Amino acid sequence: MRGVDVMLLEKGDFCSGSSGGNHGLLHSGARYAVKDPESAKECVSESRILKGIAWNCIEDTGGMFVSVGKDDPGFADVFHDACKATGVRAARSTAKELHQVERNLSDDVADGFLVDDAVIDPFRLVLTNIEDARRHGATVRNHCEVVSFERSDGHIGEVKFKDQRNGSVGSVVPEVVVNAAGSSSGSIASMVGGNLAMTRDYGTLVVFSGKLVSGTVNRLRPPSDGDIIVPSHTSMIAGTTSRSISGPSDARPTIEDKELIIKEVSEMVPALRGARAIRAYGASRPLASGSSGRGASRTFKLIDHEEGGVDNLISIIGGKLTTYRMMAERTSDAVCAKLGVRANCTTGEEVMEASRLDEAVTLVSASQSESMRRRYGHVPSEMMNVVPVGSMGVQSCSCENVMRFELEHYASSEDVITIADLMRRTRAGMGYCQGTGCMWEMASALSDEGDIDLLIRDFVRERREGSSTVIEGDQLRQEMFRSHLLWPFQAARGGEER
Amino acid sequence: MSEEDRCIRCGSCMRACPVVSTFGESVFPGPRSLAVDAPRTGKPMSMDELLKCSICMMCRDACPSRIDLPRSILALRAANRRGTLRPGHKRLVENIDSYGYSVRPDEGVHGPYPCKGPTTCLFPGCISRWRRPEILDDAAYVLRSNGTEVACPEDLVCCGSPLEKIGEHERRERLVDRNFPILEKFERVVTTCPGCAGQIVGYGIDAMHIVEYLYEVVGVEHLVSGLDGKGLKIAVHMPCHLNRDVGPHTKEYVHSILGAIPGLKVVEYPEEDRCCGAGGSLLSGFPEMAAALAKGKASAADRAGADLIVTSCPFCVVNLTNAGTMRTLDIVSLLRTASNR
Amino acid sequence: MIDLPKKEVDVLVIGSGAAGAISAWDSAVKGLDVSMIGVGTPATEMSSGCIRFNDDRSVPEGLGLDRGDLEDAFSRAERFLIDEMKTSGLKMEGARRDQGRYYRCHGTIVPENIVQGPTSSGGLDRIEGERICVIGFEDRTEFDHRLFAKALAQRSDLRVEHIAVGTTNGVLRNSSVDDLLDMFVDAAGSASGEVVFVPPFISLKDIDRWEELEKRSGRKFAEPVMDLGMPGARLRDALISSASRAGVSITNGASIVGMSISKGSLNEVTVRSGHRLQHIECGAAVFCGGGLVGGGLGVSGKDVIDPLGLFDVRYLREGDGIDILARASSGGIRTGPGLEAIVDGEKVRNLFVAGASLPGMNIVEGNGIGDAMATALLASKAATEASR
Ligand SMILES: Cc1cc2nc3c(=O)[nH]c(=O)nc-3n(C[C@H](O)[C@H](O)[C@H](O)COP(=O)(O)OP(=O)(O)OC[C@H]3O[C@@H](n4cnc5c(N)ncnc54)[C@H](O)[C@@H]3O)c2cc1C
Ligand SMILES: Cc1cc2nc3c(=O)[nH]c(=O)nc-3n(C[C@H](O)[C@H](O)[C@H](O)COP(=O)(O)OP(=O)(O)OC[C@H]3O[C@@H](n4cnc5c(N)ncnc54)[C@H](O)[C@@H]3O)c2cc1C
Repeated sequence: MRGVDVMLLEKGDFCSGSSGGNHGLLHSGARYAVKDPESAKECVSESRILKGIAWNCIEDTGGMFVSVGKDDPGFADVFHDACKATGVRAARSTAKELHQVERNLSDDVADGFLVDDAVIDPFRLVLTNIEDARRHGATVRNHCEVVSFERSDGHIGEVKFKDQRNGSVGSVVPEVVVNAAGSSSGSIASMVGGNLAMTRDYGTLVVFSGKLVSGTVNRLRPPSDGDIIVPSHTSMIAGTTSRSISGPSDARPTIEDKELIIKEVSEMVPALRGARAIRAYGASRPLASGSSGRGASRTFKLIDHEEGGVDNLISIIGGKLTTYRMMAERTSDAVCAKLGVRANCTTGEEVMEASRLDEAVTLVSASQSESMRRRYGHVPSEMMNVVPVGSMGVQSCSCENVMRFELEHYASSEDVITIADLMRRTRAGMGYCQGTGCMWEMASALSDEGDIDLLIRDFVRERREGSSTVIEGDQLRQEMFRSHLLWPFQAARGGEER
Repeated sequence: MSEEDRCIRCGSCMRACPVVSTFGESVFPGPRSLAVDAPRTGKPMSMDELLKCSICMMCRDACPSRIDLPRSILALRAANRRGTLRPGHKRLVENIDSYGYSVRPDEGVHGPYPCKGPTTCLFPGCISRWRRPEILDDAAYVLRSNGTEVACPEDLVCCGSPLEKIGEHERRERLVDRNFPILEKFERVVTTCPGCAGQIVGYGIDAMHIVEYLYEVVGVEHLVSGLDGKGLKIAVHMPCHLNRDVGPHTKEYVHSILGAIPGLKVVEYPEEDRCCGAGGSLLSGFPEMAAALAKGKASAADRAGADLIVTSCPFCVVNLTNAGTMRTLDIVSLLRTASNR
Repeated sequence: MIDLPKKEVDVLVIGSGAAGAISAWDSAVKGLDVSMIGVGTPATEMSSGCIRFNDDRSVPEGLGLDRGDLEDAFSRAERFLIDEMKTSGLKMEGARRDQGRYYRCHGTIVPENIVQGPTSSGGLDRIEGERICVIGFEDRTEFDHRLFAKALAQRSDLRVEHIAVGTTNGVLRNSSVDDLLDMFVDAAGSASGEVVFVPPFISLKDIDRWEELEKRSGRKFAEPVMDLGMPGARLRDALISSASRAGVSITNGASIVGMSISKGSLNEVTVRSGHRLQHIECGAAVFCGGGLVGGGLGVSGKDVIDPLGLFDVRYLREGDGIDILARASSGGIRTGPGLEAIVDGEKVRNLFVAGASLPGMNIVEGNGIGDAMATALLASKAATEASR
């Protein structure tokens, strides 16, 4: 948007890092008001901006902070004052008022605040950004991992990347490199010989089927484990935990994490105890400061490695999804300064292209356009090209109400090579049956390019990883059912894997 | 955790649904989509879609997770009261408000014999009282000729089933309040309509469908003595609310009774338990759909080589007769015909 | 509500899947008065109708069953599948693969490894031809013909045409077989395939029309193996029809809700039928309620449970994460030695368990419908004796 020629490389799919592994809470700032006022202020301004420029990715649900029985009653005043000081809107409410908003709240809820939290769909947000960046001329490639940097005289020359589609190695010689590799930022920096002090802090989230809350529900206490419930599409996401990790091997949810989360969040919404957990996942918070865990500031840090001896590398770490735009603005300011570009950043004012699309809803039923609006924020007109003439098409995923033409539309994109890629774009397979029925439809939409065996196997493995810590009750029956359905497929394949 | 949360998406309910398999999911989304999926997405549901379920309960019986899908659909109808009703349903409500019956009383029909004395009440029900009065008459006849005198008090009104089906619970309560004091004085309440039987059981009164009464109290042997089936070949249509609400024991009863009538041949066909489309207020809301289902059912009976269809529900008689291809009799009418008198 | 009149039967079979049907059939052909009561869609009906007999007898032997008796039951079950099913209209054909024997309905093809070509081990059936035509319904999803066609097309030895035919709103033209036959014959005629794959569409009552299809078009027709649809329903209809012919009284839609057991003996079973309860006195009963999918077993937390709360249940307690699947597969109702149910730690002399309700019978790649049937024949034998 500032006239710079940009290339973005992503080793997995878009949003496969922390950005796809979070709550999706568009913070009003309240959570940070007490301990981290700087973050809180950032959230206030950024959440307002995002509701404008990326409205198609946001459900403006509102939210609340509630104190439960044994919580410190003094914290409410501290919280209220801090919100006032940071400009966070928080309306003090009685238990009765809160119950009117959320009828599944615990009877132990004493009082609390209504706040301007909202829910953001991170997949949609990232994809909308990518689409918009492309429209402005950026080259964006997923499934391309940066594997090496050529460095001489404190300057990065050629950058090599490996395309996972065919294993080929490509290269580019950039003037400036931005390292926004999230929790891998440290290793990217060290690949170049730079140094980046950061800690990785892992958080687990549990997905429940169905919605018991209509807005976000937060615990009115200093940030801690299991104190947030976020409604998201057809499910609820509860979390989180905080555990310092050293490498990718510990970066997975544990049963203890899951149990802790359920114990804590069910103090706010007791019905969650019996709700059907369908999945647990998580991500690492790349925290900028040396401290770790809850104490670490959630603001971001921009590092120019010039002092460290690399003159064209900038790293951006920490922060939050909510403040991603601000982080990007500061980063591109730094880039522009290096390149001598004068143009101003306009990301705060311009509504993103995909958010601007008008709906061309003539071919789908009312309930389908409703569903597409929920999942995409609008009804993407270009998708209509593949709707079979004279029919409303066939439903492929009934958990999430996804039609075959939606799958076909995304499957034809260069970006999409796995079933999970397709799932991230359409939500097919994200419901409680975890793709039991629609994975075949997704495989067949993709199978022109891909090996069917591999597609299915990868997807089943990916889904099982996510379900292994929560699988019990009817979700276990669900998984058993799916295993049975895989049988004819295995038989046809030779049956070497369960 | 709600019952619907137990779904494992095996699709058995969708495959069992007669409305889905006849019209397709684009016309009727089907039991799972309505009862399990829609509430999860929180999307506003169209009352029209909800009203296309015939509450045949095939899905409930098909569910390996034992989810009572029809009950959920009824609850959604009730929760969706703002949704507009079909013209037929509006008429039904008006009729109940004006006359206490879901259909408009016909001047020519005279209410049956309000007689004092008997301890058994034959509950008239809207259809057999006003649309098919001969069924009520035949029922009273069959009972009387088998030693049971019945009363049929004039003040009884609609049982409330049609209101339950469109989510009109308060109105239904008012009808219950009118019927209950009358019914509770009787030792036994018998109905010709399975829908009424189920409703009255819901009042807390042990109502019996007439098939149950004939089998359990009168006894098959007594009932069929002296009857002559006249060589008729009949196909049984098992009414959904008899088979799956009153209970599947009635299927055995119907077959025992019919099978014992000398000279009557019962033909077997796989569609015997399939819905005719009358129920769940489909007939009043979407008459074309009810008619298409009835046609399918009637032609199945026809293919099986039957001369006529015998069922045990006045509402099914109405709908199957509408199909126009097969003569359809209620079991009590058949019994009367077979008695040669 | 007043109870239904009491009933007496020699043998009561609970559950009407494969195990229930063959067990009821077996007792009835021996002249006993048998009732079978079931509700819900059995796993048997959800299956592909391709019946798997596991060569590995370790699961049933682990239940304390005698090897000789088992072999006898397995061969009786296989004979049943050929002789009885034929009388019910299903022509079953057997084949060997890996560690088992498989029976499927004539016309069903379990193709050899559809992707990697005919040399690798895999399915049961060689596709006899080089030119293949796959026909599917455009707007129905139960048979993914596009995926199937693409998979076949990835094989170098086959040339594949794919034809999608339309239905109206996804409805199989009101299920008229005549229309469907015409449609497939037409479609096949426009293609050059020697073997034509069509979605499984012929129900048991129309099964003899299959030949007509081949005769009219002069092609070989085949159905791919498929779960959750016609093949399983057809198998179940045939099983029910056999039981019914043998004189079993069958109730669909009622469920067993209780049992009265005293001094190691079952006296009475309580059944819910609609709004009412019925007490059935029986000489013996066989529980064939199925496994975790069919509904005979359930899961509470991580434990396999009996949803009726009647039986003692066996399962492993160790294991974590996804291992829990294997653990749950091994769960089931405790019996034995032999198939007598164990209730409150005590053997019940005239109550038997068969099929997927038994421990270890839920294993996905292992014991299928065939094993369920074999255990059911042993249970019916024992029940027949106990009821006298
Ligand atoms: C448990 C948890 C809950 C959270 N909840 C919220 C919340 O509710 N609201 C909120 O605002 N924030 C939340 N956050 C914070 C938020 O998720 C992160 O701050 C944000 O997503 C970070 O984005 P990022 O782009 O910096 O990193 P990432 O999203 O991790 O992106 C880095 C990307 O770089 C790629 N990459 C790495 N190495 C290479 C390479 N060699 N070549 C190419 N690509 C590479 C990765 O694949 C990855 O996709 C949460 C964080 C966690 C951990
Ligand atoms: C999706 C799927 C696909 C499969 N595919 C194959 C395959 O292709 N080949 C193969 O060989 N095997 C297959 N299997 C395994 C096989 O289906 C089962 O092992 C077998 O069918 C079990 O038979 P069963 O009679 O024991 O139980 P089921 O067939 O499940 O029957 C049990 C019946 O009892 C009823 N019941 C339970 N409790 C009660 C009660 N209290 N009162 C009344 N009724 C009750 C249940 O509702 C159910 O209808 C598959 C299984 C599944 C789930």
